[in-house]
Amino acid sequence: MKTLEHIIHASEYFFGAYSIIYILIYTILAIFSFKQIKKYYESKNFLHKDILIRSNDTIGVSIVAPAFNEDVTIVYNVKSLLLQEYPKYEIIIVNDGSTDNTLEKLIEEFELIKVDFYYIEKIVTQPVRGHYKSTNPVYNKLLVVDKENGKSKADGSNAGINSAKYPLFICTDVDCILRKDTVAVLVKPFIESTTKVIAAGAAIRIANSCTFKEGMLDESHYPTNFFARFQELEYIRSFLFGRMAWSKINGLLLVSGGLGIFDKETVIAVGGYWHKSLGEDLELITRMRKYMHEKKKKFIITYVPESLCWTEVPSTKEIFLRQRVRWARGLIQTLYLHRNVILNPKYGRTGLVAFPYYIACEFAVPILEVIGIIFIILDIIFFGINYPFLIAISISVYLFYVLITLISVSLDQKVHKQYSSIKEILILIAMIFIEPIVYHPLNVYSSIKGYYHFLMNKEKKWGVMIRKGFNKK
Amino acid sequence: MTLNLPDNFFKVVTSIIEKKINYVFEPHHIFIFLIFIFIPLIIFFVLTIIGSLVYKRYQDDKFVKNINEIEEQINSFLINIIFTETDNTTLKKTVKEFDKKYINNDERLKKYVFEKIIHIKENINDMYEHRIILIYKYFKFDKLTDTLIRKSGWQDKSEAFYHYQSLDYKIKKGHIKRYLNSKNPQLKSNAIIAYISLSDEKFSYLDNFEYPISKADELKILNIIYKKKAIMPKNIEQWLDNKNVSIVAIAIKLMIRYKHKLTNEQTIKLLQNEDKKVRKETIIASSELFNFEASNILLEHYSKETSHKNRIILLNTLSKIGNENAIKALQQKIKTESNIEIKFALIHCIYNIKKTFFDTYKYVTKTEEETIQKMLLHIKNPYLN
Repeated sequence: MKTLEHIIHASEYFFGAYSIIYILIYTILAIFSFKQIKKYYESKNFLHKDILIRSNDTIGVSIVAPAFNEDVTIVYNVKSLLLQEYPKYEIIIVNDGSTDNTLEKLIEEFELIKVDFYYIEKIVTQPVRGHYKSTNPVYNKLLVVDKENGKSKADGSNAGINSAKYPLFICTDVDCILRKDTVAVLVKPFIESTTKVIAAGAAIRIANSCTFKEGMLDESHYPTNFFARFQELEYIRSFLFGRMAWSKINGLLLVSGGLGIFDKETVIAVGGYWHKSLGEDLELITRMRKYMHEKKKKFIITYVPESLCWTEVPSTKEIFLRQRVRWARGLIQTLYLHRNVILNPKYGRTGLVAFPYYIACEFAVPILEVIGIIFIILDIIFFGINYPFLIAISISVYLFYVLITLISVSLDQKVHKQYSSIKEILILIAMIFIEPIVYHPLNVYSSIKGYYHFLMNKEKKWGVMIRKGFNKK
Repeated sequence: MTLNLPDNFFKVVTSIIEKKINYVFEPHHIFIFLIFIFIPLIIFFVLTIIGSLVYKRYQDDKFVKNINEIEEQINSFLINIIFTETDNTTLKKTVKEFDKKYINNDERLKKYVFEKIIHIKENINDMYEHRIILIYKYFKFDKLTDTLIRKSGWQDKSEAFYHYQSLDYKIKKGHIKRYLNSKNPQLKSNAIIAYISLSDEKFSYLDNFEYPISKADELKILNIIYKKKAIMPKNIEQWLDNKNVSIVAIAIKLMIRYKHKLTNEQTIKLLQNEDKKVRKETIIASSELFNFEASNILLEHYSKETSHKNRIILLNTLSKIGNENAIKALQQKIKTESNIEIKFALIHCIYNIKKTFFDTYKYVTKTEEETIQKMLLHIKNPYLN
């Protein structure tokens, strides 16, 4: 009993110190995020995107979007992708061995025929069955790659990268709706920076309750679905708070798979997306960073605080938990796979800052939360607990969490002015207060489950994301 | 002089620190800190943010509603005063009346109207320049620009440059000149672009320009050329000899724009440049301007070219301007070229020059035949090229 008392006593000091460091880190990130967003908007017109849209001398971009069993939405989404305002781009849709009518629908709608594309397999993928181009000049920017299923988005993306003709490629999901100036906005950092930019990302929004007109966002609404509502908050916090802050110190370890632009040469040099990864976006960026450090080349990975992409997110508990379990498993898998980076000076700020942060503040948090609850229970049962202190510290943590989300929402409203009315803003604010109690435990549960699956080496499953399609006007 | 510390000095200091730490981290003190400082502070921030969030949104919605109500009036008013001939006194009076009736010192609305004027000016290009500047002055937007240029932030000054540039307010060129050598690269860049845009001899400033020009600036300069329909610099050929490779690259791009061919001597000299970008632009110029005379020069340069990308561009160029000599020289390389992308460009080039070449070509191995045949199928496909 004495030993247990010592352990609990020591743990109190540990959690106290951890909380102080955690709060300090997030306060610093808030400052960084604010500064980076400010810098972005101050420099926004340094190179106006209209100049890029008009120029023949800009860099070419391939948009790669793998599709697996997307026949409900594929035609609408490809038409939306084809609306990009940029002089030099192509759309590559990779049909990753769909078992529904995805390919047939594309062939029919876009008047496609099979072409003898000379395919160079720079990154190894499952066999490619063929390439399709449209006979209608209106769709001459479209290339469809038909391949055998690789059981991962990574394999599909790699086949698209192999087929891409331009030096930069955007990786997105075929169910994403992109703002029509997405390419122009994402290309800008590559042109403006004198240091080599190897990847860039932008904010992704939730499309569940938004309305779309002719392939573009018409009205932005705060989601009405329970899960989508909280995911919206999470996305805002993640993109505008976390990633902008990490962008400021060039320590980004993640460019979202939903929307990211990459230097093709670097991606090919590191072997493309890893098809066995459950967090292929995080894993790719880690490898790209390692490669650049090893080659002793200066590089930048940056984020744009603009909302350029809308995507449908899980709206049922089952699909939501499955997605989060996969993400958690992807996180631990990547951290374990690249464990040689941790605190390794050879990998610069990747090893000394980004990786330790990911371990201490992303990976460890769910575990520590569970341990904390266990200790509180033990304390209550065996030693009695200082309830006023417990309540004070719980309220402090809760309010700090709320404050961080509020700062993110406030930054978001300042730059984007999303949602159609004040009423929606008020609902969003209300959700900020509910989120830590209702939604956060679900995330902790799925993270722990993901870690467990990784440790038990359970077979990976992607599952099927059931799409309802976009609300059209 | 040495500092003699008592033997137990460190012990005493350590014990004081320990006591302080214990004091600070004593649960009761943490509790007091949380209850009386931390929680009230966070609540204050939370309430302030919520208040400002709702207030800002309310203001934004009000502004949008206001704009929707008067947008038509603003549009018709601006079109009317820009395109209808009136004397200056009437114009001034009309602007003043409109200002009083609709804008009424609302800074946001004022900015909105100004942006509309800039938008119209950009769309009608060089027309009604003088009249638009008068309207700009009568609305007292010049005071807004002056305030911006006096501010310390580079982005404010850049916005002022943008006003002058968009309105083609040439007389204000002098206000920009002092920032041409600014230590802030963004301010300097914006000043240079605005200065070039406002100069009658658009590019004379670049004659003695010593600094590297970024890709962003290059695009902005080219944009001015397209928009302002500037005439080609008279001394462009001297630019080709400039020590600054950025100027050389821009000169080649300008020559392409004005369809001014490089001479063989110039091509040879430029291909010897150490900078691969200059070599790339030279090759592209031969392609864009269909400089058939440069074919043999490019062919000779091919083996010397160290950049893979430049080699591919060169082969693409030769596929447009190449001749029998090119085929003779390049066919030797089919068997030796190991880089698959260059090989593809090579096959493409030879096929484009002579469509029947591969009908009689003797393949060494079956694999080689298969590879080249696959490449040819791609090259011949009308939907892929």
